[in-house]
Amino acid sequence: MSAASIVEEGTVQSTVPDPASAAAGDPGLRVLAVAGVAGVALILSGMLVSGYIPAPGAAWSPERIQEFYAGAATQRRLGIFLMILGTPLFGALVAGMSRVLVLGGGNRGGWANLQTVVGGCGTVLLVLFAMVLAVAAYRPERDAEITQALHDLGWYFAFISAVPFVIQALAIAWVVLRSGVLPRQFGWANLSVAILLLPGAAMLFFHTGPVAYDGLLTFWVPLTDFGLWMLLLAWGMWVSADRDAVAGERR
Amino acid sequence: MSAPVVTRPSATVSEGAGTARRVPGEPGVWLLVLLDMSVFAVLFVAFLLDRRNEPEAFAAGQADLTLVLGLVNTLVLVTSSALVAGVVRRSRAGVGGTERLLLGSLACGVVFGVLKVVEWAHLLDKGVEPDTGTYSMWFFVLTGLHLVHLLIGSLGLVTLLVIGRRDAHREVAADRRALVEVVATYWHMVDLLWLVIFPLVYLGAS
Repeated sequence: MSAASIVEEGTVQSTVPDPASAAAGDPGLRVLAVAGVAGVALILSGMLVSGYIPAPGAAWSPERIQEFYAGAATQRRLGIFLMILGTPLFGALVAGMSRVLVLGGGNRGGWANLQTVVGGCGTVLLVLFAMVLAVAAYRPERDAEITQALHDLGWYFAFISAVPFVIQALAIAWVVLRSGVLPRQFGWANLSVAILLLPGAAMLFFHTGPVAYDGLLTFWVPLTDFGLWMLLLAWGMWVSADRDAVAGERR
Repeated sequence: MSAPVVTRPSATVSEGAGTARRVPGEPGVWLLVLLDMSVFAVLFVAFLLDRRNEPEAFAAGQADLTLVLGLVNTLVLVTSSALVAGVVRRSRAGVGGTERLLLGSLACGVVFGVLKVVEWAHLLDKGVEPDTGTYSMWFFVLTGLHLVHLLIGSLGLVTLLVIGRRDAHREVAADRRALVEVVATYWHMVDLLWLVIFPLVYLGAS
C-alpha cells in the first residue's frame, strides 16, 4: 500500500513507527513552518524599516510620494530588500499546508489542490509587491507621477489581491472542518481570516477613509490578519509534523 | 472506502453542579462573529467621529437617500431573521417543514440585495459616488460591507436548503442541527448589523 493511499483513506496500521522517533529523524514540515515564521518576520520588519507602516496615503500627491522615496532612500531600499527576502517564504506555508491537508485525506474534491494553486498565485503577488516597490525606490528622481504609479501598482499587488488569499483560507477551512486534520477552531480561524481580508478588494473605489489603501479595512486589518494567519498556518504545520514523519516512515 | 469519522467537540459551557449550557452552533462561529462585529464597531465609532466633524455635509448626504428603501429593507431583514429563527426551532424539535422557511428567508435576502443595488444605482445616477465626499464614502463602505455579509449568509441558507433536500428522508443528525444554528447565528449577526447601520446612515444626521 502506498503512503498516498494510506493518508488518503486515513487508515491506521498496527505497524506504525513510533511518532516521536520518526519525527526526530525527519524535520519535515517543521522546517517549512520555521521558514513561514521567518517570512512574517522579514516582511513586517522590512515594511517597518522602509516606512510602509503606517502606509503612505492613497490621497498623497505625486510629489509627496516622490519625496517619500527620495528621503531616506537607502533605508527604504534596505526595508524593501528584507521584504524581497521574506515574501517568497509564503510559498513554504502553502506547500506545508497542502501536505497537512492531504494527510487528513482532505484532497477529496481537489480542495488541497485548490489551496496549492491559489496559494501559489498569492505567493507570486506578494513577490511582485516587493519587486515593484523596489523599482519605485530605485530611481526616485524620475517623474513624480511615474513613481506614484509604481507605488500604486506595488501596493495593489499586495492589498487589492485579497481574493486569492480569501479562497485559500476558505479551502483550508473547508478541509479542516470536514476532515478534522487539525482542531476545528483552526478551521474557524481560517474562515475569520477570509472574511476580514475580503474588504481589501474594495480599495479600488476609495482614496480616503477606511477602504482607501492606507485605511483600517484595507491596510491595518489585513496586515494584522495576514501576519497572524501566517503564524497560524505555521503552527498547524508544526503540530502536524509528527503525523507527516510517520507517513514518511511508512513509505 | 469510508471517510474518516470526525467527531465534533461538545459545545458546552459548564455552569457547575452538574448543569451545562450548550453553545448554539459551535464556539468557532462565535469567534468569527466577535471578530467581525469588532471591526464594524470600530467603523461605527469612526463614522460618528466624522459626523461630529462634518454635520452639515452628513445631513446633505443623507438628504440624497430614499428613506423608504432603507425602511423596507429593515422590515425585510427582520422578517428574514424571524423565519430563520423558525428554522432553528423546527430543527431543534426534529420536525420538518424548514424548506419553506428557508426559501422565505432567502427571498428576503434577495429582495434586500436588489433594493440595495437599486438604491446605489439611483445615487450614482445623481452623481453621488464613493469618492464624492465623506458621507457618501461611509454610505458605500458600510452598506457595501453589509451587502457582502448578506451574500455570505445567503450562501449559508442555500447550503442548508441543499443539505435539507439531500437528507429529506433521513433522520436529522446532530451535526446538521449544529450547522443550522451556525448559519442562523451568522444571519442574525447580519440582521443586527443592519439594525445599527440603518439609523446611523439614514436617520442619524436629522
